[in-house]
Amino acid sequence: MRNTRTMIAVLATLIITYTAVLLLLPADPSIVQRFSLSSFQLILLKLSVVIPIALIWAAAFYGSVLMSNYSAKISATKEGKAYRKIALGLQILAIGSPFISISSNLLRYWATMHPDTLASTQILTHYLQLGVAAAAFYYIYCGAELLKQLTRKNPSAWVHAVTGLALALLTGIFCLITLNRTSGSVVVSSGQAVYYLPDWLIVASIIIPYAYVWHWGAKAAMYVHFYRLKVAGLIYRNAFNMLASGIGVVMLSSIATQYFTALGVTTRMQLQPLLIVIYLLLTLMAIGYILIALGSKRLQKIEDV
Amino acid sequence: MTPANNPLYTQVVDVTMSYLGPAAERFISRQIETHLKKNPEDLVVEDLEILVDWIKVAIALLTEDQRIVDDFTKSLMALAENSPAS
Repeated sequence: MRNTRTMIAVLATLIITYTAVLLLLPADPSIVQRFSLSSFQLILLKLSVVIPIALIWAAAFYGSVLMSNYSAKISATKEGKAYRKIALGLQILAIGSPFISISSNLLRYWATMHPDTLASTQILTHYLQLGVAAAAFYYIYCGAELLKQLTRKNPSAWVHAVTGLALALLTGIFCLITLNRTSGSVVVSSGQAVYYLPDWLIVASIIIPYAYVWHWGAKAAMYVHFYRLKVAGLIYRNAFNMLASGIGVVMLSSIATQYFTALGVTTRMQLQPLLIVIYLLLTLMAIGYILIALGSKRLQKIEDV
Repeated sequence: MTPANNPLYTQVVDVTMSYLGPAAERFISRQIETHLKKNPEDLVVEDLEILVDWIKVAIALLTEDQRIVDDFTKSLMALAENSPAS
Protein backbone atom coordinates (compact mmCIF):
# COMPACT_ATOMS: atom_id res chain seq x y z
CA MET A 1 0.00 0.00 0.00
CA ARG A 2 2.87 2.38 0.87
CA ASN A 3 4.46 1.52 -2.47
CA THR A 4 1.17 2.35 -4.24
CA ARG A 5 0.88 5.72 -2.48
CA THR A 6 4.51 6.53 -3.25
CA MET A 7 4.08 5.69 -6.93
CA ILE A 8 0.87 7.75 -7.18
CA ALA A 9 2.69 10.71 -5.63
CA VAL A 10 5.63 10.26 -8.01
CA LEU A 11 3.29 9.98 -11.02
CA ALA A 12 1.32 13.10 -10.04
CA THR A 13 4.55 15.06 -9.52
CA LEU A 14 5.94 13.98 -12.88
CA ILE A 15 2.72 14.80 -14.79
CA ILE A 16 2.44 18.22 -13.15
CA THR A 17 6.13 18.94 -13.80
CA TYR A 18 5.89 17.80 -17.42
CA THR A 19 2.75 19.86 -18.04
CA ALA A 20 4.36 22.91 -16.46
CA VAL A 21 7.56 22.46 -18.47
CA LEU A 22 5.63 21.99 -21.70
CA LEU A 23 3.23 24.88 -21.24
CA LEU A 24 5.46 27.42 -19.53
CA LEU A 25 8.67 27.05 -21.47
CA PRO A 26 8.64 28.86 -24.81
CA ALA A 27 8.57 26.60 -27.85
CA ASP A 28 11.50 26.19 -30.15
CA PRO A 29 11.16 29.19 -32.54
CA SER A 30 12.30 27.08 -35.50
CA ILE A 31 9.42 24.63 -34.92
CA VAL A 32 6.86 27.45 -34.55
CA GLN A 33 8.13 29.00 -37.77
CA ARG A 34 8.35 25.72 -39.66
CA PHE A 35 4.74 24.74 -38.93
CA SER A 36 3.34 28.32 -38.92
CA LEU A 37 1.62 27.91 -35.56
CA SER A 38 -0.20 30.64 -33.67
CA SER A 39 0.10 30.86 -29.86
CA PHE A 40 -3.32 29.26 -29.42
CA GLN A 41 -2.53 26.45 -31.87
CA LEU A 42 0.73 25.83 -30.05
CA ILE A 43 -1.07 25.48 -26.69
CA LEU A 44 -3.64 23.11 -28.26
CA LEU A 45 -0.84 21.06 -29.80
CA LYS A 46 0.95 20.78 -26.47
CA LEU A 47 -2.24 19.76 -24.65
CA SER A 48 -3.00 17.20 -27.35
CA VAL A 49 0.30 15.55 -26.47
CA VAL A 50 0.20 16.01 -22.68
CA ILE A 51 -3.17 14.34 -22.11
CA PRO A 52 -2.53 11.02 -23.91
CA ILE A 53 1.03 10.93 -22.53
CA ALA A 54 -0.28 11.38 -19.00
CA LEU A 55 -2.73 8.53 -19.57
CA ILE A 56 0.05 6.27 -20.87
CA TRP A 57 2.27 7.07 -17.90
CA ALA A 58 -0.67 6.34 -15.58
CA ALA A 59 -1.17 2.95 -17.26
CA ALA A 60 2.56 2.21 -16.97
CA PHE A 61 2.61 3.17 -13.29
CA TYR A 62 -0.55 1.14 -12.64
CA GLY A 63 0.93 -1.95 -14.29
CA SER A 64 4.27 -1.60 -12.51
CA VAL A 65 2.60 -1.08 -9.11
CA LEU A 66 0.41 -4.17 -9.56
CA MET A 67 3.43 -6.24 -10.61
CA SER A 68 5.42 -4.91 -7.66
CA ASN A 69 2.62 -5.72 -5.19
CA TYR A 70 2.20 -9.18 -6.71
CA SER A 71 5.93 -9.91 -6.52
CA ALA A 72 5.96 -8.79 -2.87
CA LYS A 73 3.07 -11.11 -2.10
CA ILE A 74 4.84 -14.16 -3.56
CA SER A 75 8.36 -13.11 -2.54
CA ALA A 76 8.93 -16.32 -0.56
CA THR A 77 8.11 -18.56 -3.54
CA LYS A 78 10.30 -19.98 -6.30
CA GLU A 79 8.94 -17.54 -8.89
CA GLY A 80 8.95 -14.56 -6.51
CA LYS A 81 12.48 -13.45 -7.38
CA ALA A 82 11.68 -13.53 -11.11
CA TYR A 83 8.58 -11.40 -10.73
CA ARG A 84 10.46 -8.96 -8.51
CA LYS A 85 13.04 -8.34 -11.25
CA ILE A 86 10.35 -7.95 -13.93
CA ALA A 87 8.45 -5.55 -11.67
CA LEU A 88 11.64 -3.52 -11.09
CA GLY A 89 12.22 -3.28 -14.85
CA LEU A 90 8.64 -2.12 -15.39
CA GLN A 91 9.03 0.50 -12.65
CA ILE A 92 12.22 1.81 -14.27
CA LEU A 93 10.29 2.11 -17.57
CA ALA A 94 7.34 3.75 -15.85
CA ILE A 95 9.46 6.35 -14.05
CA GLY A 96 12.07 6.67 -16.80
CA SER A 97 9.69 7.73 -19.58
CA PRO A 98 8.37 10.88 -17.88
CA PHE A 99 11.82 11.65 -16.52
CA ILE A 100 13.24 11.58 -20.05
CA SER A 101 10.36 13.66 -21.43
CA ILE A 102 10.89 16.34 -18.80
CA SER A 103 14.68 16.26 -19.16
CA SER A 104 14.59 16.43 -22.96
CA ASN A 105 12.22 19.41 -22.90
CA LEU A 106 14.42 21.24 -20.39
CA LEU A 107 17.55 20.40 -22.38
CA ARG A 108 15.89 21.50 -25.62
CA TYR A 109 14.95 24.82 -23.99
CA TRP A 110 18.50 25.20 -22.67
CA ALA A 111 19.83 24.58 -26.19
CA THR A 112 17.44 27.19 -27.58
CA MET A 113 18.84 29.73 -25.12
CA HIS A 114 22.43 28.54 -25.65
CA PRO A 115 22.70 27.34 -29.26
CA ASP A 116 26.32 26.30 -28.83
CA THR A 117 25.14 23.55 -26.46
CA LEU A 118 22.74 21.97 -29.00
CA ALA A 119 24.97 19.02 -29.77
CA SER A 120 25.73 18.34 -26.08
CA THR A 121 22.07 18.46 -25.07
CA GLN A 122 21.05 16.15 -27.92
CA ILE A 123 23.80 13.68 -27.03
CA LEU A 124 22.80 13.76 -23.35
CA THR A 125 19.13 13.18 -24.25
CA HIS A 126 19.97 10.16 -26.40
CA TYR A 127 22.18 8.62 -23.72
CA LEU A 128 19.46 9.18 -21.10
CA GLN A 129 17.00 7.32 -23.33
CA LEU A 130 19.51 4.53 -23.88
CA GLY A 131 20.33 4.29 -20.16
CA VAL A 132 16.69 3.98 -19.10
CA ALA A 133 15.90 1.44 -21.83
CA ALA A 134 19.03 -0.59 -20.94
CA ALA A 135 18.29 -0.68 -17.20
CA ALA A 136 14.61 -1.51 -17.68
CA PHE A 137 15.04 -4.23 -20.28
CA TYR A 138 18.00 -5.76 -18.39
CA TYR A 139 15.91 -6.36 -15.27
CA ILE A 140 12.91 -7.57 -17.28
CA TYR A 141 15.23 -9.95 -19.14
CA CYS A 142 16.81 -11.27 -15.90
CA GLY A 143 13.36 -11.90 -14.42
CA ALA A 144 12.14 -13.59 -17.59
CA GLU A 145 15.21 -15.83 -17.68
CA LEU A 146 14.53 -16.93 -14.10
CA LEU A 147 10.98 -17.85 -15.13
CA LYS A 148 12.32 -19.84 -18.06
CA GLN A 149 14.68 -21.70 -15.71
CA LEU A 150 11.69 -22.74 -13.59
CA THR A 151 10.32 -24.70 -16.53
CA ARG A 152 13.61 -26.71 -16.66
CA LYS A 153 13.29 -26.56 -20.43
CA ASN A 154 14.52 -24.32 -23.24
CA PRO A 155 12.76 -22.81 -26.24
CA SER A 156 13.37 -24.76 -29.42
CA ALA A 157 16.30 -23.93 -31.68
CA TRP A 158 14.07 -22.55 -34.42
CA VAL A 159 12.49 -20.04 -32.01
CA HIS A 160 15.98 -18.82 -31.09
CA ALA A 161 16.87 -18.70 -34.79
CA VAL A 162 13.78 -16.71 -35.81
CA THR A 163 14.24 -14.28 -32.92
CA GLY A 164 17.92 -13.86 -33.76
CA LEU A 165 17.16 -13.33 -37.43
CA ALA A 166 14.46 -10.76 -36.70
CA LEU A 167 16.82 -8.89 -34.37
CA ALA A 168 19.65 -9.01 -36.91
CA LEU A 169 17.32 -7.61 -39.57
CA LEU A 170 16.03 -4.86 -37.31
CA THR A 171 19.53 -3.92 -36.19
CA GLY A 172 20.83 -3.96 -39.75
CA ILE A 173 18.07 -1.64 -40.94
CA PHE A 174 18.56 0.59 -37.89
CA CYS A 175 22.29 0.75 -38.63
CA LEU A 176 21.67 1.57 -42.29
CA ILE A 177 19.11 4.27 -41.52
CA THR A 178 21.11 5.81 -38.68
CA LEU A 179 24.40 6.04 -40.54
CA ASN A 180 22.75 7.07 -43.79
CA ARG A 181 20.65 9.88 -42.29
CA THR A 182 22.97 11.18 -39.64
CA SER A 183 26.41 12.56 -39.72
CA GLY A 184 29.31 13.11 -37.39
CA SER A 185 29.05 16.75 -38.43
CA VAL A 186 26.23 19.05 -37.45
CA VAL A 187 24.08 19.29 -40.55
CA VAL A 188 23.12 16.83 -43.25
CA SER A 189 21.44 17.91 -46.47
CA SER A 190 17.95 17.24 -45.14
CA GLY A 191 18.31 19.28 -41.99
CA GLN A 192 19.58 18.74 -38.46
CA ALA A 193 21.70 15.76 -37.60
CA VAL A 194 20.28 13.41 -34.98
CA TYR A 195 23.15 12.19 -32.88
CA TYR A 196 25.89 14.81 -33.32
CA LEU A 197 28.52 12.11 -33.00
CA PRO A 198 31.16 10.69 -35.36
CA ASP A 199 30.02 7.50 -37.11
CA TRP A 200 32.35 5.21 -35.15
CA LEU A 201 31.00 6.59 -31.87
CA ILE A 202 27.40 6.24 -33.11
CA VAL A 203 28.12 2.58 -33.84
CA ALA A 204 29.96 1.99 -30.55
CA SER A 205 27.74 3.97 -28.17
CA ILE A 206 24.31 4.03 -29.84
CA ILE A 207 23.78 1.22 -32.38
CA ILE A 208 25.55 -1.62 -30.56
CA PRO A 209 24.09 -0.78 -27.12
CA TYR A 210 20.60 -0.46 -28.58
CA ALA A 211 21.05 -3.76 -30.42
CA TYR A 212 21.94 -5.36 -27.08
CA VAL A 213 18.99 -3.68 -25.34
CA TRP A 214 16.61 -4.97 -28.02
CA HIS A 215 18.23 -8.39 -27.64
CA TRP A 216 17.35 -8.31 -23.93
CA GLY A 217 13.84 -7.13 -24.75
CA ALA A 218 13.27 -9.78 -27.42
CA LYS A 219 14.67 -12.56 -25.21
CA ALA A 220 12.54 -11.33 -22.29
CA ALA A 221 9.39 -11.44 -24.42
CA MET A 222 10.41 -14.89 -25.75
CA TYR A 223 11.11 -16.34 -22.28
CA VAL A 224 7.95 -14.88 -20.77
CA HIS A 225 5.92 -16.31 -23.66
CA PHE A 226 7.74 -19.66 -23.29
CA TYR A 227 6.95 -19.74 -19.57
CA ARG A 228 3.33 -19.05 -20.39
CA LEU A 229 3.25 -22.05 -22.76
CA LYS A 230 4.99 -24.43 -20.34
CA VAL A 231 3.59 -23.37 -16.99
CA ALA A 232 0.81 -25.51 -15.56
CA GLY A 233 -2.63 -24.07 -14.87
CA LEU A 234 -5.29 -22.99 -17.37
CA ILE A 235 -6.32 -19.92 -15.40
CA TYR A 236 -2.75 -18.98 -14.44
CA ARG A 237 -1.65 -19.25 -18.09
CA ASN A 238 -4.44 -16.96 -19.30
CA ALA A 239 -3.35 -14.27 -16.85
CA PHE A 240 0.26 -14.64 -17.86
CA ASN A 241 -0.61 -14.45 -21.58
CA MET A 242 -1.59 -10.80 -21.20
CA LEU A 243 1.66 -9.97 -19.41
CA ALA A 244 3.75 -11.67 -22.11
CA SER A 245 1.88 -9.83 -24.87
CA GLY A 246 2.24 -6.52 -23.04
CA ILE A 247 6.00 -6.86 -22.65
CA GLY A 248 6.32 -7.65 -26.35
CA VAL A 249 4.24 -4.65 -27.43
CA VAL A 250 6.13 -2.26 -25.12
CA MET A 251 9.41 -3.52 -26.55
CA LEU A 252 8.14 -3.02 -30.11
CA SER A 253 7.04 0.52 -29.38
CA SER A 254 10.44 1.30 -27.85
CA ILE A 255 12.17 0.07 -31.00
CA ALA A 256 9.72 2.02 -33.17
CA THR A 257 10.55 5.19 -31.25
CA GLN A 258 14.24 4.69 -31.92
CA TYR A 259 13.61 4.17 -35.62
CA PHE A 260 11.53 7.35 -35.64
CA THR A 261 14.43 9.24 -34.10
CA ALA A 262 17.01 7.69 -36.41
CA LEU A 263 15.04 8.71 -39.48
CA GLY A 264 15.27 12.29 -38.25
CA VAL A 265 11.66 12.58 -39.30
CA THR A 266 11.04 15.47 -36.99
CA THR A 267 13.13 17.61 -39.27
CA ARG A 268 11.42 16.53 -42.48
CA MET A 269 7.75 15.66 -42.05
CA GLN A 270 4.74 17.94 -42.27
CA LEU A 271 2.75 18.52 -39.07
CA GLN A 272 -0.20 16.21 -39.81
CA PRO A 273 1.83 13.07 -40.67
CA LEU A 274 4.13 13.87 -37.75
CA LEU A 275 1.19 13.89 -35.33
CA ILE A 276 -0.14 10.65 -36.84
CA VAL A 277 3.23 8.95 -36.26
CA ILE A 278 3.40 10.27 -32.69
CA TYR A 279 -0.11 9.12 -31.86
CA LEU A 280 0.45 5.69 -33.44
CA LEU A 281 3.53 5.19 -31.25
CA LEU A 282 1.67 6.45 -28.19
CA THR A 283 -1.25 4.11 -28.92
CA LEU A 284 1.12 1.17 -29.31
CA MET A 285 2.75 1.96 -25.98
CA ALA A 286 -0.62 2.41 -24.29
CA ILE A 287 -1.79 -0.99 -25.56
CA GLY A 288 1.35 -2.63 -24.21
CA TYR A 289 1.08 -1.04 -20.78
CA ILE A 290 -2.64 -1.82 -20.53
CA LEU A 291 -1.95 -5.48 -21.31
CA ILE A 292 0.77 -5.51 -18.62
CA ALA A 293 -1.66 -3.90 -16.16
CA LEU A 294 -4.45 -6.40 -16.99
CA GLY A 295 -2.11 -9.39 -16.75
CA SER A 296 -0.71 -8.18 -13.44
CA LYS A 297 -4.22 -7.63 -12.10
CA ARG A 298 -5.28 -11.19 -12.99
CA LEU A 299 -2.16 -12.66 -11.38
CA GLN A 300 -2.77 -10.55 -8.27
CA LYS A 301 -6.39 -11.73 -8.13
CA ILE A 302 -5.30 -15.38 -8.03
CA GLU A 303 -3.43 -14.59 -4.80
CA ASP A 304 -6.24 -12.55 -3.28
CA VAL A 305 -9.28 -14.86 -3.57
CA MET B 1 2.81 -33.59 10.02
CA THR B 2 3.57 -31.19 7.19
CA PRO B 3 1.04 -30.55 4.44
CA ALA B 4 3.19 -32.56 2.02
CA ASN B 5 2.77 -35.65 4.24
CA ASN B 6 -1.02 -35.48 4.02
CA PRO B 7 -1.96 -37.59 0.95
CA LEU B 8 -5.38 -35.97 0.59
CA TYR B 9 -3.92 -32.46 0.71
CA THR B 10 -1.29 -33.46 -1.90
CA GLN B 11 -4.03 -34.86 -4.15
CA VAL B 12 -6.10 -31.67 -3.85
CA VAL B 13 -3.06 -29.54 -4.72
CA ASP B 14 -2.23 -31.81 -7.67
CA VAL B 15 -5.74 -31.37 -9.10
CA THR B 16 -5.55 -27.61 -8.54
CA MET B 17 -2.19 -27.41 -10.35
CA SER B 18 -4.00 -28.05 -13.64
CA TYR B 19 -5.86 -24.78 -13.13
CA LEU B 20 -3.67 -22.51 -11.05
CA GLY B 21 -0.19 -23.83 -11.75
CA PRO B 22 2.46 -22.48 -9.36
CA ALA B 23 -0.23 -20.70 -7.31
CA ALA B 24 -2.07 -23.97 -6.56
CA GLU B 25 -0.55 -24.83 -3.19
CA ARG B 26 -0.85 -21.26 -1.89
CA PHE B 27 -4.46 -21.15 -3.04
CA ILE B 28 -5.48 -24.42 -1.37
CA SER B 29 -3.65 -23.60 1.89
CA ARG B 30 -5.39 -20.24 1.98
CA GLN B 31 -8.86 -21.78 1.42
CA ILE B 32 -8.30 -24.36 4.16
CA GLU B 33 -6.95 -21.85 6.69
CA THR B 34 -9.53 -19.15 5.92
CA HIS B 35 -12.72 -21.16 5.48
CA LEU B 36 -12.12 -24.40 7.38
CA LYS B 37 -10.14 -22.69 10.15
CA LYS B 38 -7.60 -25.50 10.29
CA ASN B 39 -4.06 -26.20 9.19
CA PRO B 40 -3.66 -27.61 5.66
CA GLU B 41 -1.96 -30.75 7.01
CA ASP B 42 -5.09 -31.52 9.03
CA LEU B 43 -7.35 -31.78 5.97
CA VAL B 44 -9.62 -34.86 6.02
CA VAL B 45 -12.11 -36.35 3.58
CA GLU B 46 -15.09 -34.98 5.53
CA ASP B 47 -13.80 -31.44 4.87
CA LEU B 48 -13.80 -31.86 1.12
CA GLU B 49 -17.44 -31.02 0.46
CA ILE B 50 -17.26 -27.67 2.27
CA LEU B 51 -13.80 -26.96 0.83
CA VAL B 52 -15.01 -27.62 -2.72
CA ASP B 53 -17.93 -25.23 -2.22
CA TRP B 54 -15.54 -22.45 -1.20
CA ILE B 55 -13.11 -23.29 -4.01
CA LYS B 56 -15.99 -23.14 -6.50
CA VAL B 57 -16.81 -19.59 -5.36
CA ALA B 58 -13.16 -18.52 -5.55
CA ILE B 59 -12.52 -20.04 -8.98
CA ALA B 60 -15.71 -18.45 -10.35
CA LEU B 61 -14.10 -15.09 -9.51
CA LEU B 62 -11.02 -15.99 -11.53
CA THR B 63 -12.64 -17.28 -14.71
CA GLU B 64 -15.84 -16.67 -16.64
CA ASP B 65 -15.65 -20.14 -18.20
CA GLN B 66 -18.22 -22.21 -16.29
CA ARG B 67 -16.83 -25.42 -17.80
CA ILE B 68 -13.53 -24.84 -16.03
CA VAL B 69 -15.34 -24.28 -12.73
CA ASP B 70 -17.46 -27.42 -13.20
CA ASP B 71 -14.52 -29.62 -14.31
CA PHE B 72 -12.43 -28.43 -11.38
CA THR B 73 -15.09 -29.10 -8.76
CA LYS B 74 -15.93 -32.49 -10.30
CA SER B 75 -12.26 -33.50 -10.11
CA LEU B 76 -12.10 -32.46 -6.45
CA MET B 77 -15.34 -34.23 -5.53
CA ALA B 78 -13.99 -37.37 -7.19
CA LEU B 79 -11.23 -37.31 -4.57
CA ALA B 80 -13.88 -37.51 -1.84
CA GLU B 81 -15.50 -40.53 -3.50
CA ASN B 82 -12.19 -42.30 -4.01
CA SER B 83 -10.67 -41.56 -0.61
CA PRO B 84 -11.41 -43.70 2.41
CA ALA B 85 -13.12 -41.85 5.26
CA SER B 86 -10.69 -40.85 8.00
